[in-house]
Amino acid sequence: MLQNKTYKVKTGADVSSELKKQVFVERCEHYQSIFNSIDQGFAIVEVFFKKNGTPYDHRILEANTAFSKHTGVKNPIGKMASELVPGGEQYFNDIYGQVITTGKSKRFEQRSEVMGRCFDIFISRVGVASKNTVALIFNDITKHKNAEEQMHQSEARFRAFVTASSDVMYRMSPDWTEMRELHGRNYIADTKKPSTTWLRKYIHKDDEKEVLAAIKKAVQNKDIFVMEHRVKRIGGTLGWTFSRAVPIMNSEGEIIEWFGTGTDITERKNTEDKFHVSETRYRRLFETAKDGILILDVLTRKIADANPFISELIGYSKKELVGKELWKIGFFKDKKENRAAMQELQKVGYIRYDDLPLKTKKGKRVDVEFVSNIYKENGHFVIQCNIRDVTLRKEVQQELLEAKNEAQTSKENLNRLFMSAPAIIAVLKGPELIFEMANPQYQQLVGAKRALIGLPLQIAIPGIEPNLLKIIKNVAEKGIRFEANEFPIDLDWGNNGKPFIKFLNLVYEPLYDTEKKPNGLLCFGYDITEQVENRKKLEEAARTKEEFLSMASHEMRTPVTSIKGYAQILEGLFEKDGDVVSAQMASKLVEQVGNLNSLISDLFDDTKVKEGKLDLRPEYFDFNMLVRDVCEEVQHTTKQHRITLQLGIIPKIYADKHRLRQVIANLLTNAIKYSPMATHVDVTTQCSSNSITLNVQDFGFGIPKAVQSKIFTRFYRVRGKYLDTYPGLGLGLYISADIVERHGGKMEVKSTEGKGSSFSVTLPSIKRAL
Amino acid sequence: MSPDTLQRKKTVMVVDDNEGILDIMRFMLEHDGYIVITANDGHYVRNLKAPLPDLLFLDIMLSGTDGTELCRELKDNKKTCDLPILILSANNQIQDISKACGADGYLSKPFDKKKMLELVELYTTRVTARIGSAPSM
Repeated sequence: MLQNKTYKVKTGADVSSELKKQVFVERCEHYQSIFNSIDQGFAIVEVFFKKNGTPYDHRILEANTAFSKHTGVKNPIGKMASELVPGGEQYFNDIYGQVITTGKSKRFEQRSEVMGRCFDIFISRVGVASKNTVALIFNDITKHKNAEEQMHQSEARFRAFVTASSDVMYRMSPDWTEMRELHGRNYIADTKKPSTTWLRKYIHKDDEKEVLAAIKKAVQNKDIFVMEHRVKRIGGTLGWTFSRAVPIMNSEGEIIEWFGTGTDITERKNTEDKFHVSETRYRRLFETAKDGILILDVLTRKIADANPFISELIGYSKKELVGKELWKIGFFKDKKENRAAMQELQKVGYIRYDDLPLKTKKGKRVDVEFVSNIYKENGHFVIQCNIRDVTLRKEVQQELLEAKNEAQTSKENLNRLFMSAPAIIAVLKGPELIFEMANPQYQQLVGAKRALIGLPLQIAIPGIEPNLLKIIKNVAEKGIRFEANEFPIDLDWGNNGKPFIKFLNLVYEPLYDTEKKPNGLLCFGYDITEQVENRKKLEEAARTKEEFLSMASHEMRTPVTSIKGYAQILEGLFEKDGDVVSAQMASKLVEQVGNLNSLISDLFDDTKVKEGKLDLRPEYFDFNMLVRDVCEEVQHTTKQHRITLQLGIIPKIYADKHRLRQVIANLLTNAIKYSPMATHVDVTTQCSSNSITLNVQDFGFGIPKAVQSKIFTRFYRVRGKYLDTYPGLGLGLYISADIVERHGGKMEVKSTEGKGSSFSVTLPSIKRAL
Repeated sequence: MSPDTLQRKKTVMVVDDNEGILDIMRFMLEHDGYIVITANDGHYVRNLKAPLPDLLFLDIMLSGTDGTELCRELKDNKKTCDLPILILSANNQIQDISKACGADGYLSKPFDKKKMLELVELYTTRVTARIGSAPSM
């Protein structure tokens, strides 16, 4: 704009002088307003020279508002420098003189000591040299100059520090985006030129965030940046740095840069880490220990620390424990005892109480083991007390003791029992079978005259039977248990030649060593010689009895045989002579002798049935034929009854014919005997798929229902008005039922009192192994 | 005795130490047509020579001699082994005893006359019946 206007003025040079004058005035006013509006000081100065050409003073021809503002000179126009500044401003006079003489403009900075300000000044000649006029434009650069100076001073200080310190030194831009320089001191790499990539260069990635946060905070607060962080060291390894930076501020309080130091704390950090790890470990142990731990201050002897376990054990919180002396929580009786223990501890460095009875806060007794040590920690003495709850251990010990006593008592009782038991007991151990125990009964049995304990078997009993020795060795060495009843042992161990047999119920039980290998035996036996002998005597007696009965029945039958024989001869003779009455009498005699023989047989059989010795001699035979045969025989004995037969088709059976004959005869004679008024007895046989049945039906007195089940029992006889008059031993049905049962069959009765009885015998039809 | 066997009288020998038994057996058998030889001890049997009887009744308790032993001896002897022997006894074990000593059968005391005569007839006429067990009384 200014240039355009100037150009217009130049092109309008031909206008009238009035107009020219007006234009000039306008231009002057215009310039004046411009000059006055700018912040730069402006002045036109006329310089005065001495005759020798030396400038000696100057006068301000023109000056704008800023001039006054910057210089502080009011109404400067027309004023001589010598008026304004005492002694003038020879410095400026000289410069003006040079510009006028040479025509070369000059720019320079000038500090005004008087004004305390600094200016950037531009001077140029106005017109030709003879005019002795210069134009002066200047800026107040005091602020800028001051900052520069401060910077310079800071720089100087920085240099001084860099020189003086062994630490890492660095300078950062106000917002830390740029690192201006860094001296790494062979610890970290240097940065000699400003760099914006310092963060990546120096700071460990994991610490970046934290570092930036700390920087941000420091910048915001214009406060010291201080931090321990990891750095990348020369050689690529990581190190620790204690970094501290201070903001350098100008007079306006603005940060102009940061000046920082870094100290290598790697070693300290590592030590710290190790210490931290060990401290953590210790803490963990302390916190989780299953022993109570108390740390005491060595001077005050008061609790300084307590772990959770001791709190749990005695019921005092850590807060309650800390600051107390041990006696106050019951570790010692009183202060005196406490002091004595602590003195002992300091003297020996160690005290221990295996069994210290404590009381919890609630008064419950706890038995503890108390161990206390004194040691140095970080140069200070501390006392550590370890307290272990031994209540359970004591209980277990007590239980063990009781169990031991109990076991001892049991052992003693067992020993007493062994010693007094009416049994033969001995324990032999080891390959030599040494007597570890032998009760008096054993000693007595083997006839030992001295104690057997400690002696090997073969020395204690040299004459032992080889077979018995073999058995014993099998048990003791191979673990084969031996058990025998009525085991005969010849105890003629004195070798006097006479057998001395004892019968024993005997057990040899193998014993084992801790590796479960057979290593001996327990001998347990009962001497049953007496019982065996008694039994043999009884058996002998039974045999004698049987022989006697057999002989007796034989002896009785011999005369019976003769009587029967003679009676039969007589009967024949009477019949021949026609003496019917005599013949009948002889016949009755034969019949009665037959009855007598039956009684003798029954008496003999009774014993056999009772003893279960009734033996069967089975054979194949025609059952119907046997029935017919017996009926025919019995028919001879009665004239009143007619025995009717109704026989089914029956296969041969396998049975004791003689015994079944006895059964059939018994049933038929009974039927006749107990039906004196009846005229007939009905006999039937029949066969089913697996059995044959014989039925003998009479029409006599019958048997009362109540006693029907008893008629097969020994000696049982049906009682009644007439029945008592019938003779009998009450053995017939008892023996018959036994015979039938021994054949695997059964005998049953159906009877109605006053109408008669029906006896049935059912036998298995198929051959049985009898 | 049936008429067709009357060609020759059969001889029955009875050995028993009881005179009454011998008396009764003799009477009954002679009455039925048999020739009866009786002996009250075993010595006679031991020296038995041909001609042999047709049947021998042998008691087992012979006052000094065991009838079962005699029976065994006779059965072991080639000359006498074919002689039918029936044990005559009041012993309850007669069945077992007779079997054990090799006898052909037995007759329990006391006996029924009719049964005895049936048995004698059986053993003196039916030679084949000698083999196998004898029917008991």
